[in-house]
Amino acid sequence: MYDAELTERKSDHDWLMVLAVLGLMLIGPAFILSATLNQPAMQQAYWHQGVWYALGFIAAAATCYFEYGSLARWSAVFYWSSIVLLIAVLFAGTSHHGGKRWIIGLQPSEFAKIGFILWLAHYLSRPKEELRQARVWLAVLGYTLLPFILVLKEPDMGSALVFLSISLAMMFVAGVPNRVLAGLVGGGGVLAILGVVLILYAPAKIKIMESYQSGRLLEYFGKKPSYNVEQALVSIGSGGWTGKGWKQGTQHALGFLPSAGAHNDFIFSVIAEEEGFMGSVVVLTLYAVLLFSGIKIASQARDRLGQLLAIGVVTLLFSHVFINIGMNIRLMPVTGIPLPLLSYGGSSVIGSLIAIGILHNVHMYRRYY
Amino acid sequence: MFIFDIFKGESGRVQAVTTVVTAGMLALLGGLWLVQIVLTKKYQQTSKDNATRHVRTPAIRGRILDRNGLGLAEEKPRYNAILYLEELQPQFSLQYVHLCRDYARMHPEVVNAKGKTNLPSALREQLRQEADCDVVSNLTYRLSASLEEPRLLNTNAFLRHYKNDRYVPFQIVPDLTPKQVAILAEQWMGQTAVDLETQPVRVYTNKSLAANFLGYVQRQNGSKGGESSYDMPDYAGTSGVEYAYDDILQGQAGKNSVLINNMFYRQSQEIETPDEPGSDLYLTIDLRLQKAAEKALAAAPFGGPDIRGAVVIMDPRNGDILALASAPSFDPNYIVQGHPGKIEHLNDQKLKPQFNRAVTGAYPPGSTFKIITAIACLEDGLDPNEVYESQGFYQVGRSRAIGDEAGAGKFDLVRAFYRSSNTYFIVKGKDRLSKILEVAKRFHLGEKTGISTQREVAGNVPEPDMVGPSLGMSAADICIGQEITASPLQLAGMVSVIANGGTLYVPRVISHAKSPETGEIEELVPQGKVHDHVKIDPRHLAIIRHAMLEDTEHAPDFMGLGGTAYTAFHYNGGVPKLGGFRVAGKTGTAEVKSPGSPYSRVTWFDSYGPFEDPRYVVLVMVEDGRFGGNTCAPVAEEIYEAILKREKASPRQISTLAHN
Repeated sequence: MYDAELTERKSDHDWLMVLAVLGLMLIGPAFILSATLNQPAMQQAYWHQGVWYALGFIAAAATCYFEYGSLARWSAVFYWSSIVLLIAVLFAGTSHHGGKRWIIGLQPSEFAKIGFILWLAHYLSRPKEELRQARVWLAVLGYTLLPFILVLKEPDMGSALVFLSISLAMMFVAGVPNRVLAGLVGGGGVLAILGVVLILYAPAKIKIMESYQSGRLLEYFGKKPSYNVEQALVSIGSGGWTGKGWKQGTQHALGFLPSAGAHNDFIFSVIAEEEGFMGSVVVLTLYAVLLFSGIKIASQARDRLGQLLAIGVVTLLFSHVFINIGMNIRLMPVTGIPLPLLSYGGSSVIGSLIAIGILHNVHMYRRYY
Repeated sequence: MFIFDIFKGESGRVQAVTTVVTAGMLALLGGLWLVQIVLTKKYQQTSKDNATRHVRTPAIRGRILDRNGLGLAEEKPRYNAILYLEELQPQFSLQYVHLCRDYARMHPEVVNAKGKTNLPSALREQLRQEADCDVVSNLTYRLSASLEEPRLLNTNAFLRHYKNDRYVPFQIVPDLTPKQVAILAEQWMGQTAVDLETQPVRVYTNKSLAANFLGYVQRQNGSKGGESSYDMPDYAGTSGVEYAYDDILQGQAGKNSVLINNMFYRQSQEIETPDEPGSDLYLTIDLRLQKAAEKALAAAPFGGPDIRGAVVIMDPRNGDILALASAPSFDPNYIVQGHPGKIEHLNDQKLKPQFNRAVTGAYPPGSTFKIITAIACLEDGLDPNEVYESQGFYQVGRSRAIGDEAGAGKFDLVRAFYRSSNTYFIVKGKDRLSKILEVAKRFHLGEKTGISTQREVAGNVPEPDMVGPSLGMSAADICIGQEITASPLQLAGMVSVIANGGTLYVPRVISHAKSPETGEIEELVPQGKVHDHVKIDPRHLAIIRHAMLEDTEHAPDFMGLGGTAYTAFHYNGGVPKLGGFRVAGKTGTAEVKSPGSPYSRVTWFDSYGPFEDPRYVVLVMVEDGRFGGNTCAPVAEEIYEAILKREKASPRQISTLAHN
């Protein structure tokens, strides 16, 4: 009996969360199919996405097989090997659409995010008192800036920002003192504002960012008309209440919404155009279920490691959802970041499912009330 | 509820994360509400405008037919070879890739260190345009060569098309011959992008016949309906009947809405509003009489090589115009098809081929005006039997004498009329000037007739109360129809009044319109619309009619002096050319002295027939003829022969107006 009480492994699953994930995995291929109707080379894409789901599911199941504590023991390996991959991609990577992000068909940044969460959770799950020491949070800052700078160099500003938000949320929940966090945020904010001002008003000779990046920022601040965002907005707005119907969207079918992005970064525009506000609400609800399940898992976690892992995954998913949909409706600048599980792409899908697997792992070994 | 559980959790910091996530999701929801619900109208419109273009498709123009349904103006198909540009998109892309590669080879500076070509967007757009141009140019040459009419692509036309109208087919070889159509069908049809387009073109079946009355259509351009619309070639009437009844002939243009893609090529197309073909327009003109009239006019004796004149044939029973000829004419087909070289005489100031002399020309009526002078004198108490001894000319003041072809001798009214004695009518009329003008006004001379088809001229007949020193015309001249002016159409009305005994009808050339789809008939101008009832004493009328009959029937006496038109209507030996068909008429010859005038005399023959039951008024005018009797009367006689043939061919049509 005593043994049973302390048995770490609980065989029950968070079914609500699993249902939300399954729901998203049904929606994804359906709209990838619709978005690629007029692209002869992409006719297999929706099917490929199913294959990624299957591989991701296996990876997630494998993740759940090991108790998260034992995973965390290997976190340094995950972290540093992903850093090596990020460096490799800078030298040997291939690029599409203005970002050098791929190496042997994979996007290391998607996996680096998971290694980063594992490592940070492991590092931060120390006694709270130690977190007051500058040496500790400065180390965390260093572990954050390393992948941040590498990813920014690809360049992939969206993913780089995701590293920052994950780091901030995990330090916050771990208990790094507020004044330290305020200082970091304030300092970062000042730097960011300076950067934006420089980009917007500096003479053209001083090149701080890749031209397409500064262009996107300029677009976001209304200094330059943006074709993509304008067309994404038209797609979403023309959906109205109920949308134009599945496979009936005109914006992407006629090529106004760039065909290179319709099935990945702009998949939400396709869904919103074809299924309207109702469809948008369904998608948002599924993500909300996933995110709140994650927060619940965080609050029920057995230990600080579990809680930090869950918060890291929630922040990862939330940043992706918020930045991607926000970019579609002009709340955020265009940053080329995938919508978890819906956007077409193996690395993103498998990465997201592994992250959800970690979440589920924390749930399975949660504190028992 | 699990959210509740979260807030119950011991970590306030997890709670803060919940708040941030909740706020973020609500912000997205709010943003989507704004975009998809509040602003949806705007974006739906943009989405539609993005992808929709309109093409205006003109309707088939109605035909113009004579009273029996014979065609005067019709639509004939013209075949053009066209390209559907949207079907060439794969070739365009391929060529674009080639051009980019070539460019990179020539300009190594655009290739970066990693072997990637980076072209500025303006250059890419230019290469894209060049690629399209290359593909179309190549195809144009191959296609036209196989049609045995090799031609090069008109690059400017294509670039204009590429810039504005990429979603409509591009015409590469226009106006194919039947042989070329066959080659195209055999070798090219079914192949990508090439097709045959049928375009209706206005054809004037009888070439120059009645051209200055029918008018013509011209290609309308510059009426583009804005950025997102394209007007297919459209024609509109710009003169004559084509202009006056353009609304009816034109029908309703249709509208196609074309769905385009982001490269502005056509994706699909649907009919938004179907076009409604224009109605056929039925004239009162009788094609055979019109032909006869133009033929006879062109052969007018003593008229010189380029006859300038007019013929009006009118039904005095109702005012229907059976022929309205004006010479010289022109072939409007050359204008429609755009061969300006073939119609160089169009703007000749003397020939004025576009000018309809019957309606738009104001001429002094000369001796034909003696009909009016005679009626005025009779009404003022002239005894028609009183004999006047003429010396053969009339002296106006000291310096001018008005000659008199009638010669000297004894004249009563009828003899003065058929011999056309100037002296008699000047002597009898000069003191009755205001009466003469009053009668002229009663016949509405010098006034527009109200014909519905085109601009017409009023002419110039002074008001009776203007008679006095300030009139500026000599009484003698007015008595014999000089200085005052009227149009041949007005004079035809005057003769009709004499023929029918007092009714002036509004001349009618347009009868009705008939819809080709529904067969529905729309009456356009009522038949027999009375302009005015002209009061004439029946006894006076009888005298005038008799005098007019004598003009064609009074055989020359021993001195050779007979009716001025006798010779035209009789063979040598006195046998009437028209048999029992008796014609009453009046010749006229007016001298024109004004310096700027393109002619120095105007010759006339006003007539009606048959005498006992008048059904035709035939009025002939020739500029610079010799005399009315030997230039115009023979023309009228020819026309009466055609009328006789017409009556023999279809006696029933004569009394009824065909509504067929």
